[in-house]
Amino acid sequence: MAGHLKKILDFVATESILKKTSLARMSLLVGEDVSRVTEDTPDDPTREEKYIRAAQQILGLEVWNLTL
Amino acid sequence: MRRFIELFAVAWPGLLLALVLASLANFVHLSSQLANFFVDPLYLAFLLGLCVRLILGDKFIFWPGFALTQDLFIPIGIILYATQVHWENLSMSTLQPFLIPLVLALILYHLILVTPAKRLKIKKEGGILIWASCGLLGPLAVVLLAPALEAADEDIAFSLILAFFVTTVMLIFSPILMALHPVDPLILGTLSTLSLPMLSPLNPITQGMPSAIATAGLLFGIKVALLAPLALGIYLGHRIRKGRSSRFPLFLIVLFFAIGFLFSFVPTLAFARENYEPITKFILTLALTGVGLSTNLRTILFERTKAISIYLILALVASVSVYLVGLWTLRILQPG
Repeated sequence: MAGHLKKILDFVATESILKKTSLARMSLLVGEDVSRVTEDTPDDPTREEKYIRAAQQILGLEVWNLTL
Repeated sequence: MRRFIELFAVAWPGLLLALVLASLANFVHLSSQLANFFVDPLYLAFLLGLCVRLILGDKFIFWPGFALTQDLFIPIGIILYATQVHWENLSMSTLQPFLIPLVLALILYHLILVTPAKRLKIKKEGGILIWASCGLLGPLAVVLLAPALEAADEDIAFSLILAFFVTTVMLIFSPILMALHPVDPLILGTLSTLSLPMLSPLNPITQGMPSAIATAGLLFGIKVALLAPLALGIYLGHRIRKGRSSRFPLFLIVLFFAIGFLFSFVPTLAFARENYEPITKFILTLALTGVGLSTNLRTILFERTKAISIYLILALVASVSVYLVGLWTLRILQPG
């Protein structure tokens, strides 16, 4: 399976006013260049958790309700 | 407010670096005796940004600031730039002499530069940016159109690199072309603005020729005025194609038109127009510094080697063709 990480990034981009800044903050928080993530990037539960936590922090969400 | 402080806390290192580079670009521009295209702060800031990013590598700590520079200063730059648009100069009588060569130039740029984009794996947005940067206004067109296109950083950087190359090469080729086909200053002003992305009267070639400067200045104004309807068209295209609102806010285009008209037709505002020029230029410089800093040149060079080498030739062909077609058209339109 692939595409979960991209889905999280798309969600962050859609929900942000400052799209590029939010994605750059994602890179800073997860410690990798998120622009390299594509639809074909394989799913990885550890990375997904890290991405979700970063997205929650950036978007200021208490509850994560995006179904992957 | 808490979110804003949080954002600033992570973005300040990158913002500070962008500010330093943009100031440096402006300082070099202002302190230069030449003040020509080579020290244009927009190109200089972009190139400085590219170099610093190459040296820094992937230091994530700076990234939010680099991105914020784009997210924040591109829209502000667009709104401020509206104060510099001279809508009052646009009438059918002023447009008429330039209409045919301008339309021909834009068609030629499209045929030569946009048609092969798909084969070179360049997205549609990238193709439009290449067309606009080489055919319209260089870095200004990129800054003004990129948000409407929702273009990727790589596409923005690619079109800027290409426009920089074309302008540099045409600066060398123009005297040769002019020596081969001597033209009067009026035609020269039109040709240089048609064929070069930058406002060429600032180049040493046309410096000191008042009629050339006036003609090129008017054509420059026409090209800027074309950008707003173009952005609106792109926005509407997004809506129709995607069936949803573009992420690019419509109010930015509306504001561009509104401020442009106000500063053109309200005498007191038109009088104050020049006061806004330095700040507008600085904000746009800052935005382009952000673009440069957000771009990994190595990635572009490695992933688009074929596209870059082909496009460098195509861009040159396009510029020379536009110059020659423009010359031919203008000589027919203005015999003697």
